[in-house]
Amino acid sequence: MKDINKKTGLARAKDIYNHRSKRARELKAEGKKVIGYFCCFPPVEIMTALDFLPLRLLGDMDEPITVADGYLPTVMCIFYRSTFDLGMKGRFDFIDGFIGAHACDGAERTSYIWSNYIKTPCNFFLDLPHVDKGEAVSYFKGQLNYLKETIEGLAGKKLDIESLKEAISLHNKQRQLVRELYYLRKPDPPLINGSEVLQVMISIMMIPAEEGNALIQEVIDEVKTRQDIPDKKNGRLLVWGSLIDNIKFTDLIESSGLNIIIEDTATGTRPFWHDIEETEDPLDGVARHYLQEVKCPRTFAETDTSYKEDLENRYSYLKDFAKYWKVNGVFGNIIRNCDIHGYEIPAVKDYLESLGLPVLIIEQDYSTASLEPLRTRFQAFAETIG
Amino acid sequence: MKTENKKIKKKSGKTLQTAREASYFAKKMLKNALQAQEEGRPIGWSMVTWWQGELIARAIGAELVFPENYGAFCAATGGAEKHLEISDSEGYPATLCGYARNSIGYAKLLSDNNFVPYEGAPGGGLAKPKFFLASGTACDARYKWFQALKRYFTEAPVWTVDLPMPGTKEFFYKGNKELGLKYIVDHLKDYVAFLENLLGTKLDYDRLNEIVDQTFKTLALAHEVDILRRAVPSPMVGSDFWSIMIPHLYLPEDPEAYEFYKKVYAEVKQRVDNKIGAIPNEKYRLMFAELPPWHSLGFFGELAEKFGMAIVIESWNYHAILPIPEEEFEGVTDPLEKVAMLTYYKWTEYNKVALEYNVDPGFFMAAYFQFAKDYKTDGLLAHPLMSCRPATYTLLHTKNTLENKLKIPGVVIDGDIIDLRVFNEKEAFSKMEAFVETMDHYREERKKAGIAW
Amino acid sequence: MFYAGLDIGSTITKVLIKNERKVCTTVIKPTGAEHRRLANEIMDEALRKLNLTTANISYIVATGYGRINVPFADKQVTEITCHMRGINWLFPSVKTIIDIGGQDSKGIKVDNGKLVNFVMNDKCAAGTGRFLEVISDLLGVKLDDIGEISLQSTRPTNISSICTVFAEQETLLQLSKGTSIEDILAGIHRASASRIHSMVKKIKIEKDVAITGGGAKNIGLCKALEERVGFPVIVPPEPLITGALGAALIASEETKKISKEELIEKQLKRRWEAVTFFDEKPTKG
Repeated sequence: MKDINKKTGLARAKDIYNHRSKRARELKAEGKKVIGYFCCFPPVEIMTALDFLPLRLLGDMDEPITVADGYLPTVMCIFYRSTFDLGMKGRFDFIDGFIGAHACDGAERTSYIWSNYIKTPCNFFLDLPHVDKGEAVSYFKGQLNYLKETIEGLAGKKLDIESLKEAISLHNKQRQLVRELYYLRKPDPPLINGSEVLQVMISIMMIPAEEGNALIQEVIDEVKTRQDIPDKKNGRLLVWGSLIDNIKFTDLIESSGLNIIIEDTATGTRPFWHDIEETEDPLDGVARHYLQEVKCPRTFAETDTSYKEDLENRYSYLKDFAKYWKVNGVFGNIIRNCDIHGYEIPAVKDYLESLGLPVLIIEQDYSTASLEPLRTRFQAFAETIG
Repeated sequence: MKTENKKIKKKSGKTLQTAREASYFAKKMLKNALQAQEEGRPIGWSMVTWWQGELIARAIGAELVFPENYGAFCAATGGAEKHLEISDSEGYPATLCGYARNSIGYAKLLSDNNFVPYEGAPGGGLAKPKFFLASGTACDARYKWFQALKRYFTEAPVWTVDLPMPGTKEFFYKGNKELGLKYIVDHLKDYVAFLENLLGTKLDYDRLNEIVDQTFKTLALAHEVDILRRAVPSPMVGSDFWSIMIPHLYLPEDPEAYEFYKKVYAEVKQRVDNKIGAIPNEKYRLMFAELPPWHSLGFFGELAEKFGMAIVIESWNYHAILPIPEEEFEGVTDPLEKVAMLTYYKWTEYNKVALEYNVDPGFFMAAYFQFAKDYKTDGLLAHPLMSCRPATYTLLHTKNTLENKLKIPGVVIDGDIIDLRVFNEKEAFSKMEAFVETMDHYREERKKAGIAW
Repeated sequence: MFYAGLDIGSTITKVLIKNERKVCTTVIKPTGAEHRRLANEIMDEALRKLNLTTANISYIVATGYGRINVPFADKQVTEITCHMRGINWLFPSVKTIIDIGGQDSKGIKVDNGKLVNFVMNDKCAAGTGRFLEVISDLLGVKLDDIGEISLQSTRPTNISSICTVFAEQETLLQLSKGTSIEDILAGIHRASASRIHSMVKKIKIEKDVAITGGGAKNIGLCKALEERVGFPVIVPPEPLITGALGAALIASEETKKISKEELIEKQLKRRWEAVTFFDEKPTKG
């Protein structure tokens, strides 16, 4: 433990990224309980407020899927197959609670199957409506209440409003720090590369929020003054789509003539771009945030307009990203069998190309073993931009 | 005469006279759509929403067509491939739902042709929609697909009618069922306002009441037929059900559907009373998971003839709802509330069974545990559909747990809804041959474990 | 000054050496199955033909599937850009290039000599040289002949284009039905063309269209593609070499971009060794 704490900033992020459950296991030895959760929809604020360590459950692109084959068919989301495979192999055997979520079909069905085979003292399935209307928010708030009650049982105490408010401001602080970190990517070349940012992002999903906030602050301070910044490259890339959680992937992209500048993904901007509003009943703000403000195509937006207006409603934030970060190309990352992003491809392309941004769409297999053949696509894309 | 009859039977696998008559309803749906088009009535492209969206749309005077069905139709008539290729070159992944890709390809052709179905479109094509009725139930494709179609019908709004889908255990949390129902009712009010606004007409709640009552009546009768099917030997088989399910799934509010089920009931009842089995020498009673290989229904006839296998019950999601106890309706007068109950109860009706067996989820899966008992089954024939993910997600899990907990073995035979060649009849047949021994073995196992039927 | 382009494809390696004015020589050899590809020997052969040594070559650009670890290349550029440059030099009017290689096929869009868009086939052999190889093996016909044979068909059979495995089954079925090899091959070429066409359509096919790569040597495939595209397509006299040509063109440009000192420094770094492919670890085999 001493060892890991000695490292700071980027070095510490790298360390946590490489040993993702290390800090959780240490804290557990000290008596803290850990809750593993799927995707970016279960509110970490409620977990933090009850003194849990929220730990994002991710797959592993380096680990061949073997055990999951007997439970989940090959036609389903490869990311969740991988996550489940790790679960079955005991990678998360230290968690005290499991929160599944109806983020998408893959997350939903895997949550169910997970709780059949991987036992934890406490588990909860968080239903999340597909629409973001008022009645859906009310229903979702109700589900958050049930989530709260369930993990109160595990915590052995009730959640008081003040600690929830504190947790919200702590996580809002994290959101603000993440955005500050992203602003350091605005210069050309950016002050920090995509793999480094990814290491930080993964790290803060594996450690308590206070520690995460301190880590981001260290990284910001370090990066602001450092000399060895990334090379200038042809491409300044916006990554849109399914998540990326392995630096072998970002390394491949960034060694092909492209700098990753901003990621609109579930491990990138999506959980961090909007702050939870302070509301009288804090759960109102929490419910609205996760259902209405976390941008993911899994939440259906009303389309009672023309197609053009519909695109504007759905993607104008991408235009803002592209303008502010001066990106000149977009990589649409689709983990194979991801329906919610798959159906969006032509629409998001229509929109981005209308802004003059070239778009590279790749369906990939969430496996580092099959990354190298993608190099030609990235390199050719960089040559297109250059 | 007799041999001719046998021929028909082999091809379709149908054993009921009424099952042979059920295609009337498929034709009626097409006719209704054509008529609506001629009369200038609004047409919606709809998903099956387990009634909540359809009943209200029809009550307000919209006619619905189902691109899913059109996908099956195009696949069966060889017209799908052209559409799939177009979907691919439009940039949609080839891994998406086959029915969705088919309709995307068709939509592109329709919009390129000034919204007139192209010459030679299968079945004359689908008419241009005024709106889309998408569904938040069962899988993501069911709303993402229609959202994507807006690209070709730029002015047509897409409405997603959502349904709460809490976990099994969570469903029973105090107040959660009521919370879910309230969500649906409020959401349906929004939906009504949307339709009224779009179509410029008010919803006639009396008409909706009629439609809802008729629907409940039809579904109750369809369920009575399901109950009759528990008899040994089985009075009807899967191939019959896949025909007779059309009216209760798609046209439950149509009084003709109700009359039809009366006839089905009488025919099945007559067989039960006289202990007549749908297939001669029934030896193995199978549950069937997901949709069948539509083009090879004769396969089931072969299984019956060679091995005495009968499909005695099929996927829960295509069956009528279990009856809702009278007292649940006490004080319920708002037809929207009744609609909400209908759909939500359907989707949660096996949650209790799921708890009892400690399996998840309650939908798609738990019903097989009840079926196994009620229908005295020997095995599960799982037919995962390559391009239909939600149909396959839980199949391996269902198979595993049925084997573990009830000692009901399962066999998996690959197929697809759009690429009909995935189903390899020869290979499937030899798998089934081997499965006979497995079922024999498990029969003994069940006896030993004291769970024999 | 001489410039070399080296295109290491999955099945064939091509070397092209040119000077300021013209193409001096080309060598086309199988890439070989051994895990250390002897691209250096193929390069040597080209040099010998011109009585040159490596020191005479100002700049070497490697491209193709095996471009990543070429110890004697000064720069690596994707085959997508190289084909584009090669074709653009040969046929400036071409806007869409269809490259049909051994393991993959690509669509490439050109605008004013610039690469603007591209598309590649995804994890599927249908629509690649590999697909035709499988079928020619199955039919016991030489791969080089199948295109010509297919043109003799009078009633092309209908082979669906969805999948290589299915196409194999369908081929066997047709054989057992007694369908002639000509008709089967015509069906196969149509299926392949339809697959490639629907992929390239993603980047919008615009006139003129050129076909490159090994697939362009198959007249049956070119005709079938032409039918799908709906207008005549251009096939270069040596369609295998356009990638290497593009690489050599880039090599000559790169030379002008840097100083003599830098150039010499680059040349000194060249190691005359075999080429490692990315999917091979040195310890293997």
